[in-house]
Amino acid sequence: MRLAQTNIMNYIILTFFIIFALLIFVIFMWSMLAVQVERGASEAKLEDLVTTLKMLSISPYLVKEGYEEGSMFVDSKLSSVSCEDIRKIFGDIDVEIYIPGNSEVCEDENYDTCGIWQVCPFSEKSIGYEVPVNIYRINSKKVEIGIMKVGVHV
Amino acid sequence: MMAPNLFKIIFGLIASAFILIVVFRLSSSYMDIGEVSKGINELRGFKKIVNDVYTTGLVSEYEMGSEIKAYIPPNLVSDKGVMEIARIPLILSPAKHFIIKRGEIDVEWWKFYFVIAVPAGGIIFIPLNKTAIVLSTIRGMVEMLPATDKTKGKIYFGIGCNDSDIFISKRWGKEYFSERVLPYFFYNPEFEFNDCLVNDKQLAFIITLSEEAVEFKNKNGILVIPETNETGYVLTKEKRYFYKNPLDILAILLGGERAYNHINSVFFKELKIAANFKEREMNLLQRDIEDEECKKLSDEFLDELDEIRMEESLEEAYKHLAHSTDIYKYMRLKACV
Repeated sequence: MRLAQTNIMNYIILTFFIIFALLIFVIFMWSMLAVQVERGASEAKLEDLVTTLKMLSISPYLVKEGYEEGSMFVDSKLSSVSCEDIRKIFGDIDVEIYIPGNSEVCEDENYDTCGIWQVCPFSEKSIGYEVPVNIYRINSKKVEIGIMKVGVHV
Repeated sequence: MMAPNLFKIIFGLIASAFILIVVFRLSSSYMDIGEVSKGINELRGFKKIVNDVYTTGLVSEYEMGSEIKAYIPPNLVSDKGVMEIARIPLILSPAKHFIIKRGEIDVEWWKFYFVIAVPAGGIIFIPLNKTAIVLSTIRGMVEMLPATDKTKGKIYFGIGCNDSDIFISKRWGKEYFSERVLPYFFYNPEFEFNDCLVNDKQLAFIITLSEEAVEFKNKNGILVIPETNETGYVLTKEKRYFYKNPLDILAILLGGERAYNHINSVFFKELKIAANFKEREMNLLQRDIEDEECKKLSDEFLDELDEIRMEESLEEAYKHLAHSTDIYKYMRLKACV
């Protein structure tokens, strides 16, 4: 009798272990799925940022006429754009363009000699990408190499 | 001894049934998720293509398993889900197979970029008047559509009706149709066109053109009434719309009133922003202008930009836009800019 009872208990415990293992497996699969979805959302956000960067590179608001392939900005245009309006078109982004080696912040009076355009200034909480761009100086008709930073708040 | 064995059997059956139910439920959930995931991936792929077309200007093609039912800005809606496409002005006609192109409205001092996604198929024009304005209007519309020489799906054109004859060929792409076919039919006195009901299911769109408002037979298409080379009216079976460029006509043709309102709203918003930026830029540059004529033109141009910024209605703003374009063209000619 005792042996029979022990056998039954063994059987029950074994069955529960199998069910328990199955449930652990199911929970694991669902967690993997949740992680995948979250990763997909982050990737989508970064993809959006890259698209915004490309859109800015070809934007008629910044690019010199005749350079539709993009990345040839004009100093007078950079000094004419406002953060509020840029965000109305491109979304909630931060944008800065600077010329390495030129630390003069751009105002209206010095648009043709300055080197830092803080269109929508970066904050400490922003992350983003940087790309090289060309900046055409409308008065001297020279082209300088600059860097455009585009980011989002995290 | 029978009792323990019986117990094992019954308990085993219950446990197996439970495991089977769980596994079955899991796999059907996974299948549903898989189906939706596939649909969402297709929409994501479409969004990526639209982004790439907008940023590169190259024509692209995209074929989906499920149909995009509508574009309700800023969302693409299909059977499998919804995907947001923000920031890119898009005009789309419901389909599974798209040819996607970037278009532009060039006003000399600014460009407005947008993307159109057109289903592959035939487009018939029915010109009820063979005049220069009608020819120019057809050419304007054809120019906005994608060239499909290098794509698998084809957008081809045709013209009709001569009694009940329609002239159409899958080899008549955008360039050939505009430069060879249209002049041949328009300048050949043998062909006069009349309205007729077109029943070909392979046709994507039917566009009737007339210089007067008339009853047109192909109510699933549109009637275009050009007043000038650029402006006029479009009639659908429900309503009448004013158009100021071929983009408006295409918006109504591809996406109806919703697309027309959306593209005009985006255009107006961006036009005001562009006018604001350009006004500030011209104020910066004006300091260095010495030529008296250039200064005068610059002041006139700034006045027009100011009017555009302050206007509440797009139709009124468009009049100032046309004038500002002329002034800027002249300024370019005079090397003022």
